[in-house]
Amino acid sequence: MGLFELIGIAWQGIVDNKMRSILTVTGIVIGIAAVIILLAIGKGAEAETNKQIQALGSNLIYIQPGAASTSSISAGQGSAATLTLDDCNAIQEVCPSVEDAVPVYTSQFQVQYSGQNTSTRITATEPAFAEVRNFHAARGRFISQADLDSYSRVCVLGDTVVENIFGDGVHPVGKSVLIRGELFQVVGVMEHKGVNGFQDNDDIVIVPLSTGYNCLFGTNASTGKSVKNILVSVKDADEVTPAEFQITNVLRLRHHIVPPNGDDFTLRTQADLLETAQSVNKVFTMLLGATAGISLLVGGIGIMNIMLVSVSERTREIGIRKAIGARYSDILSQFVIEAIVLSISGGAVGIILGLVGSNLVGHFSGWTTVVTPFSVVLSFIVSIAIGLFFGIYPARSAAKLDPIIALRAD
Amino acid sequence: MPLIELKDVKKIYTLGSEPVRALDGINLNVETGEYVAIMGASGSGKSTLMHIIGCLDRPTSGEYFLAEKTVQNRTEDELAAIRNSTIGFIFQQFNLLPQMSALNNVMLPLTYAGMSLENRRNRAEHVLTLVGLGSRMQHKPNELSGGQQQRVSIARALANHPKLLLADEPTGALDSHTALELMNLIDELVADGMTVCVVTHDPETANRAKRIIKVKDGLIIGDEKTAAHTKTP
Repeated sequence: MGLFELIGIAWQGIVDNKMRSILTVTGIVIGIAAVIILLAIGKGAEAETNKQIQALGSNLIYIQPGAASTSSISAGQGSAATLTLDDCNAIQEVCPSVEDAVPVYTSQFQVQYSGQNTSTRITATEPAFAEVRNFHAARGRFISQADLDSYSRVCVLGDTVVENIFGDGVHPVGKSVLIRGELFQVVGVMEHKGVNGFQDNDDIVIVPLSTGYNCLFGTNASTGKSVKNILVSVKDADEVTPAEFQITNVLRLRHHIVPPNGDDFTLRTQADLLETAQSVNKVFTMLLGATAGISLLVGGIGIMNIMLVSVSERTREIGIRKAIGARYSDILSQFVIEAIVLSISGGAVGIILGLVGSNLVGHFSGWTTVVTPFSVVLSFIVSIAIGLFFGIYPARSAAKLDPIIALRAD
Repeated sequence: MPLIELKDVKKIYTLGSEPVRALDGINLNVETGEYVAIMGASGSGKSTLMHIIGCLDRPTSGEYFLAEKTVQNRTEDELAAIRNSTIGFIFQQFNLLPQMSALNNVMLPLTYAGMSLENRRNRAEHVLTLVGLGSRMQHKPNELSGGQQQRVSIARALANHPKLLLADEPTGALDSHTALELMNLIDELVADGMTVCVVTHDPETANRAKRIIKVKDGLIIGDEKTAAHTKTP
């Protein structure tokens, strides 16, 4: 019997038992739809992260202080106050591949405006920050060199901060806010940057570095003007590796580090950040996929269950077919193909539902969802495999039936 | 050479620890073109005999030749092929597939024989016309009367040019008038040269045959020609 004909017979059987077929494939439909939607969310998160990291500029190097350690207890990366403003200036002056080196000092403080307050990341830096981070003021202006020179008490607010402490319709530029009890005049509002992983890029207040040292953070007793990190922009994307080499050497010289002593600073490039983010995303996507996989497994068992019921209900039919000359392989292929046609129909509906669902999720949650052709092809292959795997056992039990016993069945 | 040749055929089941001798040494020859009735009470072994003649079951011991070919030591698939090409079955309960039209039911054995769709359709239409159902080919079994359903099953049995027609209580589920019509149809087939074997416990049906074989306790206890035999030239 031709394959085409077997598929036709199987399809007829499915249509004859509409309600049961629909209930049977529901598990597969939900499973496949879940796989596609969850993979789309995972892929979307990945794409979003990549986009944001790339938006930071591809030729960026972060320098962080190393771990502070007291008698072999490490307090974690970035906790030591080993980087100073002088280090930053030295990098700017000495390293030929470096375009700009921007010192950044950050600390979590309370910001107030007329009764409303929020705890936010105060970032003290220099005007070049905007260029290097590719993060500009949307309204008003960014901090200027003049602000820095005159220790002006001015600040630029991130979107989230504006939302948190200003009411609707209040224009923040020109208003004064209290940062750690000190009055600062708002000169600008930053553009919207969005959430990057777990960090809200808009939950930020930017002040001039000089003002920050003067009235917010103070200076470190032993190292003077320490910085939390240094942002370096490299002249050209090809010069990232030379720049890393130059910066490492300058800082080792300045910090008197002689191998085998470890560096008291770390360099991170965009590539490093991308890699970290991607590995996090990969785990995330895999977890989502595994969750969906479980529902597929349950769906497959549903198919096996109904196929077994179908075989025992149709014992007489199998007996008749055998009596008039059906061989083992005829009965086997009839039931396997029935299971596969069932699971493929479920899979096809699931794929459509998954595509629609991904769009809906993207639309209503605001997340980016990316349906890859890979996940569609995978779902399709998986649904064939489920039909084959969970159909073969019931089909074998049908094909092995003794025709005499099968004919006697009611 | 006879069409059916059984030599000391035994079928022994083990029911629990008791061996049940369903057939206890059957010797039987049926020539091509014969019309034979196998009679016996239930439990006599006539059903087992029919299963063995129909290649649905294999004897425990003894030899069985069907159309000059040996049947024992065949695989399931080989038996299926023999059933498909050599034997046409007619059952008491018709045993049509309820979801298929009469035409598709008749086409089914041809499908398993590997015939092309067009040839199958032509052959099925031909035999359905032969049994007088030319106008009801697209009807499903539940849209047909009992007599019509049995005609479909005869058409199905004839579809693949069988050498032997094996009928198990063919009139058991029919009223007497329809049963008579059906037996007339079988007479016609016999007149055309078909070998027919009817298994029944109904004397009236059996007496239509030309030879009656009586079975009891797994043995043949009688084998005689009937009045119908002497009547026909």
